[in-house]
Amino acid sequence: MGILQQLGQGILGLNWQNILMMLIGITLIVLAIVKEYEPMLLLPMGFGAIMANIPFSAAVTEGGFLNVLYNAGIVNELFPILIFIGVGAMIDFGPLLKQPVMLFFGAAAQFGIFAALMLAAASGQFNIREAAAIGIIGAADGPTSIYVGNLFAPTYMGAITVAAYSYMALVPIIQPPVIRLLTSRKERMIHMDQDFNVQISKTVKIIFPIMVTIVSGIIAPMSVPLIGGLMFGNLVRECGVLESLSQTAQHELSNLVTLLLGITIGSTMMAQSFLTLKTLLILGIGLIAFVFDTAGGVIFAKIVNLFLKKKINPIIGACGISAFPMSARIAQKVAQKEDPTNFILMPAIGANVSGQIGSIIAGAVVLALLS
Amino acid sequence: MYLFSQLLPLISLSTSVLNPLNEQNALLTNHVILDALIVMGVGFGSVFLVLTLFYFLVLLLRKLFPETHRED
Repeated sequence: MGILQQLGQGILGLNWQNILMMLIGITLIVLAIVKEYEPMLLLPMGFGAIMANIPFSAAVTEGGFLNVLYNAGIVNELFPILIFIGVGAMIDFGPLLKQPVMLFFGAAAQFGIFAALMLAAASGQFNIREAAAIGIIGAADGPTSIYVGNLFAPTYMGAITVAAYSYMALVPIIQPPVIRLLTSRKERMIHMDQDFNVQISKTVKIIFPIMVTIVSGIIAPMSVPLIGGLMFGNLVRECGVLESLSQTAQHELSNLVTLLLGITIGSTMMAQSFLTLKTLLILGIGLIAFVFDTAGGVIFAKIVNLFLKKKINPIIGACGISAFPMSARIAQKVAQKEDPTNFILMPAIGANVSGQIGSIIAGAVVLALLS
Repeated sequence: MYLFSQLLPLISLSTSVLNPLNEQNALLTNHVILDALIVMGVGFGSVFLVLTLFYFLVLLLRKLFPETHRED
C-alpha cells in the first residue's frame, strides 16, 4: 500500500496550477520550435518549467539538479557573466568606433528602463528594488535582467526573465509600428553618410574594451562583473592572438551556458510564484518598456536633427536597445521598405552595440543607486 | 528637492487614484514613486554622462591612433 501511495503521489499532487504551468512550458517550447522565437533560450526554459511543476519533482528539491544549477549559476550571477563573455566575443565594435556619435542613441534608448520603473512603482504593487528589477526588462538585455532581478526581485525572476527574452524575440513585431508612428516617410528615407573604406586601427579596438571596463568600473563599481565580462570577451576577440579561445567563447561557451541558464530559469517558474496577477503586471510593464525604449531612441534622434544640417535617419534611434543584432536588422528593413536604395545597417549596428554598453551601464547605475 | 516638493501633491493625487481605499498604501506608494523619480533622473542622467565620456574618449583614441583608408 505504501509503495502504491509513493507511486501515486505525483497524480494525487497534481492540481490545475501545475497543469497550467506545464501548458505554459509547452507553449514556450512550441514558440521556440514553430516560430523560432529565441529557441536557444525559450526551449530550455519551457522544459525547465515543465520539470519544476511536476508535483514532488526531484529536480527542484534540495540537492535536485535544477536546484544545484540555480545555486551554482544564478544565485552567484555566474551564468549571466559567462554569457556576456560569449556576447563580447561576438560583438564587433568597429561600426560604433567609426561613428562614436551612435553612443548617444545607446543612452537615449534606455529610457524604457526608467519609464517601466516609474510604472512599476506607480502600480503600488512593488517596492522600489522590485520596480527597478522590472524596469531592467527595458534593457532588452537578458543577462542584465537576470543579474539585477536576482539581486532585487528573486521572487519574480521567472516572470522578469520570460518577459525580457520573449519581448527580445518580439522586437520585429514591437519596433516597426512604434517607429512608423513617430516618424514621417520623409524621415525614414534619410540616407546616412558611411565611409566603408575607413578602417579603425587595431590598437583602438584593443584599447576600447580595456578603457570601457576601467572607466565604467571606476564610475560604477557594480558594473565591473557585467561590463568586465562583455569587454573581456571582446578583448579576446580583438587581440588577434586568441583566435581559438574567441571561437570557443562565441560558440561552445555561449551555447552551453545559454542551455544551462534557460533550463535553470525555467525551473524558477513555479506555479505558486508565477501564477499571480503580478506576473501579468510584470509582462505588461515589460512590453511598455520596450515601446518606450524604441520611442526614446527615435524621439532623441528627432531632437538631435533639429540642430543638425545633415540629418540622421531617426530609425537609427530605435536601435539603441540592446537586442543585438535583431534591432539593427529591423531598422534596415524598415528603411528599405521606404527606399530600397537606403542602407543604414552599419550605423544601426553602431547604435545597437552602443545599446549593449548602455544597458549594462543603466543596470549598474540602478544597482549602485539602490544597493 | 524643491522640484520634488512641487511634485509631491501631483504624486499624491495619482497614487490616491491607484489606491483610493488605502491611505497607508498610498503613502508608501508615494515614497516608492519619489524614489523612482530620483532613480530615473539620476540614473538616466548618469547613463548619458558615462556614454558622453566614452564618446570623447573614443574621439581621443582615434586621434592618437588614426584610422587607415582602404584604396580599393
